[in-house]
Amino acid sequence: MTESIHLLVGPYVLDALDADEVALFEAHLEECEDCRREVAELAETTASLAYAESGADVSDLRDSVMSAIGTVPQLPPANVVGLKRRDLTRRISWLATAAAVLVAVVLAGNLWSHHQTITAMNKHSDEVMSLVTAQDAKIMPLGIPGADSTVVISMERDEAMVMGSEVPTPDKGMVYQVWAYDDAGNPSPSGTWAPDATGHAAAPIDADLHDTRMLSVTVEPAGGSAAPTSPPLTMVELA
Amino acid sequence: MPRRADDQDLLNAAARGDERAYEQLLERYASAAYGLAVRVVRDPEMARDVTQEAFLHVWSQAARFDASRGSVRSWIFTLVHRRSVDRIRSEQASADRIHRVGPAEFERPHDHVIADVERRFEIRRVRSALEDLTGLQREAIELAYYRGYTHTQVAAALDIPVGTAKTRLRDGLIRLRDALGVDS
Repeated sequence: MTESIHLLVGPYVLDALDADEVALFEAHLEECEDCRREVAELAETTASLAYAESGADVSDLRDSVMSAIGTVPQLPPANVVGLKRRDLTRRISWLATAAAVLVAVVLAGNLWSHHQTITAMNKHSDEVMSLVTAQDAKIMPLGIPGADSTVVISMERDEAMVMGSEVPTPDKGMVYQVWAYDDAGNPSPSGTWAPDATGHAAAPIDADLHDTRMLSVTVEPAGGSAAPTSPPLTMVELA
Repeated sequence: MPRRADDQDLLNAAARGDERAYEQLLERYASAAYGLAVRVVRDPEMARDVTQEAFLHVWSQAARFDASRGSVRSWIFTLVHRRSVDRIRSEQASADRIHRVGPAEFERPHDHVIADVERRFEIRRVRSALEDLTGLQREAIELAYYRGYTHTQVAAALDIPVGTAKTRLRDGLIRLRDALGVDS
């Protein structure tokens, strides 16, 4: 630890570093317990500075926050989300099967039209191929209740898809809709989809992935909604 | 602060979807959070946005809060402050706000009547702790925290070397910490 980087504790807790310096200092924090302790302490002191002013009446702000949380999904604790080994193996097996079937099908030509289980993927076979062959493809559990569902994402290609089997058929006139949340927690509609007769589903997610922090899925009237009208069935944080 | 464990309980409940618990945190901190945001960004509308964003973040990330990194209260104010500073820095990039406002004048928003005696006491304590800093420490901290200056901008505004600015910010905070007592 150099003396000079330690001095950045003050500017750091006051948010008075520029982005480069923040990155530098946070890398240092990972290694320096003294600095971590000092940051925690001085952050408490800094929080007190928020009280140098009397506050304003913010009852309407409180009301608007309370009504907004109805549409903001909550992340599960950190150790629940993400790619646990166990999950990964299980999910990969379904995807690997799907991909293997797909490859076989592509090789075997028209044999695939008879392959009932992949009708859903059929529609999106190009996207599926592009995604599963991407170097950085990531497979994450999607967690739709009752279904085996995954999200496959490639940041490099800026593409993502929902895939699932045993997906419950939504009520008549309803579809699943994917939502992409930005940093501020605002949801954007990112595509509607429904499973086929065998419960399989594959649908592209239409979102700017680089600005997306979380995905959720709700059930919406056919055609989709502009904003979620029902609580999320599930949500996934994009690391 | 006796309410610290309390905050953590409320946050835990909020993380499990308890809206009433979340609302109590909101009642405790929304006013101060908004006061901080408005002081930094000046524009009441922008301050509202920033405060709302920060609280929605608290809602969605409640289960991810890491108590080893500090208190709930400090987490909330950090979220508000960081967002406020980000806003004015991006504004500075387009229309140089520093020059419009000028570092020397120090406006305080109008005080509002507050019923919360505890909070009034806290305000007095913080103001008096700030008064006890050296002039340079106080100015440096106020420019950084309430005006969103980077330490390099602080150095320029006060016409001191960058290294001195860094040192004053840290010394000043340590002195404040000792005056206010560490929250634990």
